[in-house]
Amino acid sequence: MTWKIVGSLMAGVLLGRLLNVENGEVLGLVGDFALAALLFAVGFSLGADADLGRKIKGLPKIYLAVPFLVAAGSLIGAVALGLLGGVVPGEAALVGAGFGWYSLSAVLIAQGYDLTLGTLALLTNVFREFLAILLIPAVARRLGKAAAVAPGGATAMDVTLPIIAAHTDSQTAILAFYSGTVLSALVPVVIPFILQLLQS
Amino acid sequence: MALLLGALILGFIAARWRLLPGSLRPRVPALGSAALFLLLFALGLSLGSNQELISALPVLGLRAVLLSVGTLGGSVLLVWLVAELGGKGR
Repeated sequence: MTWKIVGSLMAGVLLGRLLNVENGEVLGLVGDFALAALLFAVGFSLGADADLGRKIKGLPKIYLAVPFLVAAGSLIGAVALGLLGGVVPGEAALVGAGFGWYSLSAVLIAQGYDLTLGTLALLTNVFREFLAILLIPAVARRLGKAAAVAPGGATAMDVTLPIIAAHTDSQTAILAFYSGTVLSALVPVVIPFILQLLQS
Repeated sequence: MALLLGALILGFIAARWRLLPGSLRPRVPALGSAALFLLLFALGLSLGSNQELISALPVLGLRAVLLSVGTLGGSVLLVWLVAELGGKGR
């Protein structure tokens, strides 16, 4: 499945380079439609699991902390590897606080800080999504189901959700949706917060 | 957000209450995969068409790779650690 995923993406990038598609609105509409179909399919597989209620109750309470661990790990990791690339810690944290939601983080940072860092946030969070798609199967196999929720960050509620679901179980799919939702809500809170720290 | 949650719940209800005819039910996973491919294709299309982004790649690409590996690695490590330490019930 992974090579098909990478193939679709690369085909899109190449065609985009060739055609220079200007019409973002149609593309956005197609994206929304595909996203809805995607979530419908995930919901369907969850609904078909008769044991789901019992499984959710069986989730250890500690998993409520997963999105906050993902958030903290993203910031720490961004600052640590940012130092290697000569990125100031505050700016690295700002980019990392996109948690994979590239469109929103890029806009917030471009408007509130500067355009170059906004572009870096876009690239970083797009790369995070690509990497997550590639690595989730291996993470699920080697580090366990809960860890497989982490790579996608906020995208665990949409784009990476079906991949997580396919390589774990319905219990973890619920955890992924929960984690992605909380992280999506955190992006517009954490980025302005770090912006304030940077500018004070 | 409302669209996502709505679609998820609709799918859930459709499965629970058996709203789809039996012949369609096994095809839902394929619909999901097709949607994922379409979504990523559309994403690639908009990224590939973004001139500013493409021209920023040589300058910002390496830093973006470092930061994305950092964010992904840091979050996986932290969740894995806590799950190992605290979630042994699983």
